[in-house]
Amino acid sequence: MKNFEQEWRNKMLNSQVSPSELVWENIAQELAQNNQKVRAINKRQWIALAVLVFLPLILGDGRFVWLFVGETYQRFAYKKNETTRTNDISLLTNTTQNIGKTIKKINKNNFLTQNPPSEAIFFAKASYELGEKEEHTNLLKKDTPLLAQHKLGKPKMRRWRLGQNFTALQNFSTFEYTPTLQEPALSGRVMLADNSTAQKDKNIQKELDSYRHLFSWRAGIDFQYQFHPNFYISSGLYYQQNIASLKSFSTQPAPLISGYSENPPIASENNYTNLLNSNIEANQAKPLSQEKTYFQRGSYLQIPLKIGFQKEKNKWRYGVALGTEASFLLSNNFAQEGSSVKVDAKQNLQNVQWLALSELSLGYRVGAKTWLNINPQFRKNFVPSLQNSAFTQKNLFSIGIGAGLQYNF
Amino acid sequence: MCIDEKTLIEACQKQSPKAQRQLYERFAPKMLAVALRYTNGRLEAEDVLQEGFIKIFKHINNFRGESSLEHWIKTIIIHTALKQNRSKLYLFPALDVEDLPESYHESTELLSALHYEDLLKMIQELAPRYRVVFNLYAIEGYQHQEIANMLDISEGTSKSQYARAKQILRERIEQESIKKMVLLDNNKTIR
Repeated sequence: MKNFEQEWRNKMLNSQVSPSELVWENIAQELAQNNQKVRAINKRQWIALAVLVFLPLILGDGRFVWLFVGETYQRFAYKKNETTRTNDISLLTNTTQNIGKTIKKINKNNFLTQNPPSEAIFFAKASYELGEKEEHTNLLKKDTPLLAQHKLGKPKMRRWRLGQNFTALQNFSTFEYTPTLQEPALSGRVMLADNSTAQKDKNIQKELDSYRHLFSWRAGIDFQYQFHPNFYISSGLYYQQNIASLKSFSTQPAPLISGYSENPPIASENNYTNLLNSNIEANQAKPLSQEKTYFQRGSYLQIPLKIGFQKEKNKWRYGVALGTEASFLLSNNFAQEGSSVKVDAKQNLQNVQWLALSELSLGYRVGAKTWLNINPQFRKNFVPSLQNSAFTQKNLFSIGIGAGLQYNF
Repeated sequence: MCIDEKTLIEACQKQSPKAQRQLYERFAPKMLAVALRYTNGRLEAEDVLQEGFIKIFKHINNFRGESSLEHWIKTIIIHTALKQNRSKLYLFPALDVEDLPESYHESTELLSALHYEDLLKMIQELAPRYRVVFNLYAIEGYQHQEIANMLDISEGTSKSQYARAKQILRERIEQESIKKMVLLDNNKTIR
């Protein structure tokens, strides 16, 4: 039987046929055009790189934020590394009529005193591809390295991708207490009979130390447009919910508390007056003998915008992306033994949080359509995560495990 | 002037038009013969050759010399030909290899008497699905499992397609041999 195949091989393998001259002329013409295209692509790559470098700088300076949300920008304006402290108790014990004026004056001179926090998130995600198949699996085994070399297995030049995913997150953060004129309206401080500065500081730090992240999850969709074999832009829409707990001596959660990201309750600039007034009334009461646990449930809408570089080789896919993200606080609820406080979502929607993000990605194809990805993400907020805060969230570290589907068009 | 392969590759990587031309001239005749086996005729084969060599020149920077240059080029030409015929290849019917007759006597002797042009014509006249599997298995020497992976079909389908192609070719070889013998007899009678 084998002689049959062998005879065919002998007859066919060493045969030669001269092509017409036209073939080479067409090849030479195509190569000349391609060289021009390559130069044009290089130019576009340089422009994209320049945008990547300058975009975060422009955003970081706050100008971009100011253009789109001027009012919000002013509310968030802060003086970096500048902290003030007052021992003037009279400021805190003014009558209700005077408090408004006093606070307004303080706000004008001392907006926020903390540095914007940094966050690091480490995602591990499995994704399953649907839709148009990318042609990198149909390779001959013995020729796989060879075919990979000339990139026949690469995805096509331009394409859309739609992804949806769910991620479970565990957050870890640390807080550093830095006293300022406007101290945080942490609930424990409210109920203390001893209103001395030293006792307040001690109690605030204790509450901060008791703040625990319990669980977070995030779900959403993202759109990606690949405009070059290695470059893409992407955006998306994500909903995130964080659940945390806080121990306090207070009998009730601090009223109208607002905050960003994963932070303990804090009075907003707008409701500080009301809060202070209620604190004064509360000071008349006796502190509880036992600590109680409060639960915080915050939800956010996140819209990222990224530009990324991605490369594939054999079964590996790796890349880097840079961009920005707008985070809208939708709700921020605190509950303790049946009582709860819901923050007005409309008020908080104005408080959009902006951050710059950079992301690394490493993927491995474990099946014809299944990828396992690891994505470390580094985020830097443009503005402090809390308004009028007397403490700093030093950093936030999250670990996430997720699953997703990806549709290729 | 004939330069060695390594120098030629390096010059092509620097996109030297002269070197590109030289590399093309060195391998194009062999590669056209390959492309002819995977296509219906010369026009289509020259299209494959053109597209294949453009890919080769675009990606020659990725050639690391882990195999011979000729093998690398041939792989690209084959893949280009397959890509061009992909729509036709997806129409594979699932035939059962056991149903096909295996009673043909060896036609190897008849085969050796035929010329390259006759055999090429026979291959080109095969349906694309038979032609591709026959080329990959009988001539290039790939295993059915590899062909199945390459064409996104089952191993059984690859085997059945090959068996059917082989059956058709044997019939054609016999017919062609008979024709030749008749022609030979006629010539003798005329003399």
